[in-house]
Amino acid sequence: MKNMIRASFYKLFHDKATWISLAGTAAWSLFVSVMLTWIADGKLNASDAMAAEKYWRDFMGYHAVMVPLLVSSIVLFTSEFKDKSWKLFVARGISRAGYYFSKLPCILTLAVMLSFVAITIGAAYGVVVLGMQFNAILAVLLLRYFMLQSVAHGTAAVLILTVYFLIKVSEVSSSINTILLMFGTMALSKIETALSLGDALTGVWAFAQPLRVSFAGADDWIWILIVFAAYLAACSLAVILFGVRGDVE
Amino acid sequence: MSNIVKTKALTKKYHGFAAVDGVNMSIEKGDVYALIGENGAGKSTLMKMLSGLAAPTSGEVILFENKHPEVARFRMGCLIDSPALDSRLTVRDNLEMFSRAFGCHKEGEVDRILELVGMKANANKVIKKTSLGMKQRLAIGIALLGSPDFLILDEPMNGLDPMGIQEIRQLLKKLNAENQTTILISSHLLDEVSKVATRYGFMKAGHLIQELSNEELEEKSKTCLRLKVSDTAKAAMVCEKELGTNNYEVIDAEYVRLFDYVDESAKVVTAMVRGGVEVGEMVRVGESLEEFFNNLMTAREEQ
Repeated sequence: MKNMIRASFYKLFHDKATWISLAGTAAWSLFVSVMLTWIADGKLNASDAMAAEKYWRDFMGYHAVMVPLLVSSIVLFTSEFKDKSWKLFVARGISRAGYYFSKLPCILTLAVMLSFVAITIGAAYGVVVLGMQFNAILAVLLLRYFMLQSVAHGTAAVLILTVYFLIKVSEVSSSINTILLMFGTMALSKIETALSLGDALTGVWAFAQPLRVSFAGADDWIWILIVFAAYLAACSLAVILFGVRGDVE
Repeated sequence: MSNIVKTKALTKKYHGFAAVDGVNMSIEKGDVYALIGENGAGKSTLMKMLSGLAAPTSGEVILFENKHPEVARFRMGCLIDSPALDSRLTVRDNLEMFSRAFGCHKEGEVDRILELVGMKANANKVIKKTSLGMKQRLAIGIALLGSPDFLILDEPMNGLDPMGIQEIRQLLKKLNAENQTTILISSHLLDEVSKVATRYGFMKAGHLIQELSNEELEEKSKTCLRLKVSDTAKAAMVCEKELGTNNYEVIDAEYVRLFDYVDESAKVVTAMVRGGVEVGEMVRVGESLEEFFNNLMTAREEQ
């Protein structure tokens, strides 16, 4: 397991796709920030507390981290399952569950790195272009926001990895993950409205978690951690129950 | 000699169709075991079951004498089907990654493998820009990481040029001779296989129909005179009494194979005629592995 984790991290940091993803995240984040200013017709004032909250909410609403996370996952896992390189691990006695659990820290690290890049770009744009005051309070808020967004995106990352591992056909897994990201939250919202369920479904939906994080701290951070832990437990269980049998094609 | 692989009634069925059917085989330490059969005979499926990529429908695989298969597989290196490499990493990065995963990463290990498979000059090439032959060499290199005791190589010569085939053959011979590495190999290039194999297993329609040692195969394929005679019992008597040899074989009601007097066909015909045996046909034959395989498959079909 330890060896497999070392191998997974070796791949993560030696695959050009990782660095291209980080650069892509920086570019996408900048694009989202500029677009938000453009939509607000230049009146966006991020030094105002409410405006700042709206800025970050919209920033994550346009998937500043989620889209790069999904794209990087598609690139990383397509090679493992399409090239079938993962079968060499199994043939050397590494259990399939061991393979999955070695990829978890890897994809969580990726979620943290992408969150860091996106929030840094978003904050830099806010300070330089929108006149956000950079002081100790903002620094603490940014740190808190970064940590919670890392967890929120980590929840989605766990789900993305599990879909890849359970299906093992990269094209199908990539399509399912994309559909879940693009339409999952919307579909669940419609069901909630139709059945008057409040936010019972989107409240626990992995891809909606980044939107639950408040920049000013008006969120239930314990709930965000609980949802992350629940996804981790449920996905691990699903892998142990359904992902370790069958032949490696 | 210790047992590296032992299978007991090993069977794999796909939707009721038996790809491998009740195979009992054993591979001893130091063997180079060639698995030979037509496409769809079950060779790859058998290899997949040995390497843990396919679960047997029934039967048992015992690796390294009853050790837990997951543990035993750390001592095995495999190349099954096409080379399974990470196409976006370089040749060196693939070896670095797999060596870490296999727990055999140490200073110089990757360079040793690059040297062994002749890939040093291409170490920094990205896999998707390499030829099939290079991929095949690297896949063999990955199987060799950590110097495994047992190698499973499914069609390792695929995509290699003649020089590459020769190099890989020499490498396998060297590993077997110097490290006592046990090798299970399948290939369509029967003549190539016959240059490295010490034992053969012939498969057809999921069954292991015959196992032979190199010596047994040589015995079966050695040069002889094949005679079509009017009476095989009389021909046998002529062999023993007139020609004074027991080194013959009655194949069926018409044919006899004589392993002596191969270069003295006139003497054989004279003795047969003198003994009252009509000789309808006399051919000097020597079966190569390919001929032996073809004859075995034909005989099996006729059965």
